[in-house]
Amino acid sequence: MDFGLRLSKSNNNVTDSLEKMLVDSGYPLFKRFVQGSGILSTTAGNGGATVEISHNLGYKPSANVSGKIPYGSNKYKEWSLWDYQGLQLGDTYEYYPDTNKLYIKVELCSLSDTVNRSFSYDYIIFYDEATL
Amino acid sequence: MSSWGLKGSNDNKDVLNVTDVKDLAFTSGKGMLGLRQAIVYSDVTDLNGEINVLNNHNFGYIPIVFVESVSWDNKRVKIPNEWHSFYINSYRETIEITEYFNYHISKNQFRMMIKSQYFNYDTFASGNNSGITYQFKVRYLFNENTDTI
Repeated sequence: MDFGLRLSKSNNNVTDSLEKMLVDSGYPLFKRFVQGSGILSTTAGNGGATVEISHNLGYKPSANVSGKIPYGSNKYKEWSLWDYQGLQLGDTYEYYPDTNKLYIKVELCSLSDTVNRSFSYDYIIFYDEATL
Repeated sequence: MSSWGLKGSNDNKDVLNVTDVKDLAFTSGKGMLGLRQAIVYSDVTDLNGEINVLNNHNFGYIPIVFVESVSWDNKRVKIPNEWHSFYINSYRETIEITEYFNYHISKNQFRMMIKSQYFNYDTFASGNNSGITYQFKVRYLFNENTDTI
């Protein structure tokens, strides 16, 4: 026999199908470990920069990063972007976790790496493992 | 009429006095995102440099999904996305790789779509990257995409 906790949405029964539930203890809710924000600064000619955020969970956690990228933008975007700069060159923005850190990284092409730059980032790291 | 439910506050917040939902770690009064299934699909690009294949999830409703893949230059990319990368081949020619990642989802199926192409800047040759294995990494949430809570 199964034991657990189920909470249904309004006007639904707890015996209804899964998508009608607010909570089903058989399926994990995303649980926030830590979140924060910062500015990633680059120095002209260095080709980009990486921010390292320690979590020390010992496994790859799920995470999400967004921010005001690229330079000059006033709108938030996911830090998963190839941004064309012209002459078949582009800047890349990415993030990825490993077992101890979250890396937020920008790589600038020669056309856009001529001045010091700053990019905002907001991150959230979940306890939930990135099993993928 | 009384309101029934379950809630828990964040650290240093009194659950009895919380009025702002963001001060709650948990509340049955609002929808919360939860994971139903995490799965990796993989396939190989055809002669057109494309992957266009259906995979069954059979949930019977359209779930919210988070989807990612890995690009030619080994970057983790969120989907949908368009990604470009460059490398120098053995003839010292510059090659640009362009990859288009996309997906569709329906009540019972997930369609993964990739188009992968190359362009040689020295010979101006272009074509499709066939025979390349890609992975689509999908997190299906148990939440319904049309949910308004």
